[in-house]
Amino acid sequence: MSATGDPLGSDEGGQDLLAAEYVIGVLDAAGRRRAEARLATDEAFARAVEAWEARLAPLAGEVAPRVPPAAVWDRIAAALPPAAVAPRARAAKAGLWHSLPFWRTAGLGGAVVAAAALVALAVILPPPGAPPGLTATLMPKSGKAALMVTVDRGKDMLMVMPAALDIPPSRVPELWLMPAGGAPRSLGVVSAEKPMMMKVPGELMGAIAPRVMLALSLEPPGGSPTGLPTGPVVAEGMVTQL
Amino acid sequence: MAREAPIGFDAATDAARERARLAASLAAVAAGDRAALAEVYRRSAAKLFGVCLRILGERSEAEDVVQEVYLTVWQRAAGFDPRRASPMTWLITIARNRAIDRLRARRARPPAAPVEAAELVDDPAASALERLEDEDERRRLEHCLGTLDEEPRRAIRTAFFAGATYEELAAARGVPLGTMKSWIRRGLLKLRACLES
Repeated sequence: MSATGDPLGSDEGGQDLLAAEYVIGVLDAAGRRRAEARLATDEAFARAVEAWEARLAPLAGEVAPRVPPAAVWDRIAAALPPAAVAPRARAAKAGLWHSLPFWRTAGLGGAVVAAAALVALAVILPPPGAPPGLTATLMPKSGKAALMVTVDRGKDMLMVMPAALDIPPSRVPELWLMPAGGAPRSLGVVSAEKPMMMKVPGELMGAIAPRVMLALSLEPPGGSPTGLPTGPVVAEGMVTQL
Repeated sequence: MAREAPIGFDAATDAARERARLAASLAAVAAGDRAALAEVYRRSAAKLFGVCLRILGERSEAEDVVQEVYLTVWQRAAGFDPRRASPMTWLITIARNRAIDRLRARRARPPAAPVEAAELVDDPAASALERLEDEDERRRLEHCLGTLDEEPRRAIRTAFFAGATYEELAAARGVPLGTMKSWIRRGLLKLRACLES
């Protein structure tokens, strides 16, 4: 009850206020990351955030709906795992796509299983009218992690879908293009948790071609300070034509 | 105003049915059903695109975020719990968070412009179902926002719709950061007290 002094103190009122600030969106990037870290570990804080989301939800009713262009759904559909794996996914409790055992099997099971995964992913179709799509599935050496990258050459974008990346604290995953006979080139730091879109400069985009390798290394926050991988490569995969 | 129209029993059941359908589709998405994701998209994409566009102010970025949102939904649908949130609230929350993150990732950004009343399009027909679904909550929130002083109310609304930081809000309004923080924090506490009374 006592909201005296700094309302962001550790008392219950401060926690609730921080939850509200996170939900209305006034925190800066660092503040949001701190709040999200707390969300993941602090059940009471997570409930406070949920309560504020529900309280303020009616405000979103004031925003006029706008129909997105059809290409948006086409790109979403193209980035999903293919329908071919859906029946197995349905059988799996949490869904095949983010099932760690599946990726473990795919990673550890050797060429046959890995190839099956690649073949399954390779039936993803590019959006109509777009140049043929490219994809790379980065398979881990340890069998513990995997990442799928879909290349949208029309938009010079990469869609990066993490599956079960296990990134140590204070390290970030950075994606690299590994040209045959050339130095690795950074494509940028990726998220271990969320699917994301990455803009790629045109000249780098031109180098992303079938049979070129992509790799994922562990780097200090902000990415490699040298422009070359400095940490261990935890996953790699070959770009495949769809 | 159309807003004042009484909510009939049939409309309320329609809204509940719509909500249940969306929740069922999300459950199917959690089980890996692509067609169900298409259904969720069909029912919610226009609202989510509107929300992202409002925050980002730029179509191609809003399109990218919508794309990220539905791929996040594909991955995280198992985390949706219909007992804890309405499906639409859950989806809008993901969209707002992704859009705000995208906004923060922009390096230099001009201060947020104050939200003009005209920008908050009052279009009852466009989101009639959602309005019906949440009519009681909406009226309650509207009433409680109305009990706040003008500055805190405007700041809270701008923050929500534009995803602006304390710093940006203070700069846009031409007041010290501390003033803006205290407006918003006091406003939030008062808002909560009103909503819970």
